[in-house]
Amino acid sequence: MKRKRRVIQDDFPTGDLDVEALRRAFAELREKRLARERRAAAAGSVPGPRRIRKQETPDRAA
Amino acid sequence: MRPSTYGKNVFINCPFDRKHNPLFRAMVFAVHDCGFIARSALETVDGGEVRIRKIIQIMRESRYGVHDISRIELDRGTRLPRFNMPLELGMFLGAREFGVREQRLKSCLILDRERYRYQAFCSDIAGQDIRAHADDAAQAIFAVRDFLASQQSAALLPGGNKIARRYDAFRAELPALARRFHLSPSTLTFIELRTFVLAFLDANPW
Repeated sequence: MKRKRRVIQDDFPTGDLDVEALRRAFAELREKRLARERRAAAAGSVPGPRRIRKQETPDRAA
Repeated sequence: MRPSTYGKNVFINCPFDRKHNPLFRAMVFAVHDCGFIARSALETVDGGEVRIRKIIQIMRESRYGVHDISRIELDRGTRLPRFNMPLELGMFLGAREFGVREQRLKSCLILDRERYRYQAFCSDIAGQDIRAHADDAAQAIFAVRDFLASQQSAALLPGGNKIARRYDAFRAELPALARRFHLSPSTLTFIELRTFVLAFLDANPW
């Protein structure tokens, strides 16, 4: 199965944020999420991701 | 932005307001999850630069465009409609028609709230790729994904449902992570949002 090469960091500016630190933080959260899902599966209920809901916020000029 | 990214850049033309922000964020995520680069007039903050010049430059660097023309309501304050999105759509189509060879490769997706509503206010765009998002972020993701999937012959992209589920996970994890980096999740700049998306996708491969 062919996959398109992911966009790499060098392709565009990322401001002052430390992308590597962010990536590590997201990776930690991913491990926690997967662990939660494994525990839920073992307990017999698999939590699905929250469905995207329409945001009902006040209108503002574009 | 390096010129070599022309074939990956996707110019997102949409309203910049709180009501539309969930759709905008979902589209940015979908563009990057499909392996492309989201571009927006919001990415530069140089106040000295004339806005239309900035938009033209980003448009010139983008082979693809996603144009959301759904905001046709009258402004509550002025009682006048906003014309920026149709204007920029027209510029994009004009570049494709009259531009040099690279610009003629341009391709765009047009989004409205309802599939055929444009016929009542902008009927001349008939024949373009027009999809409805129903003000729903998941629908916007599906439309962007299908559009980009049709632009590349050799690559296989995840389905819209998969990307929407990944976006749900991103949305769930963004607030805590933004705060960890001393940022407010609701007021991230475009560059910051794009960087968070990039980091999430790196940590969560397909």
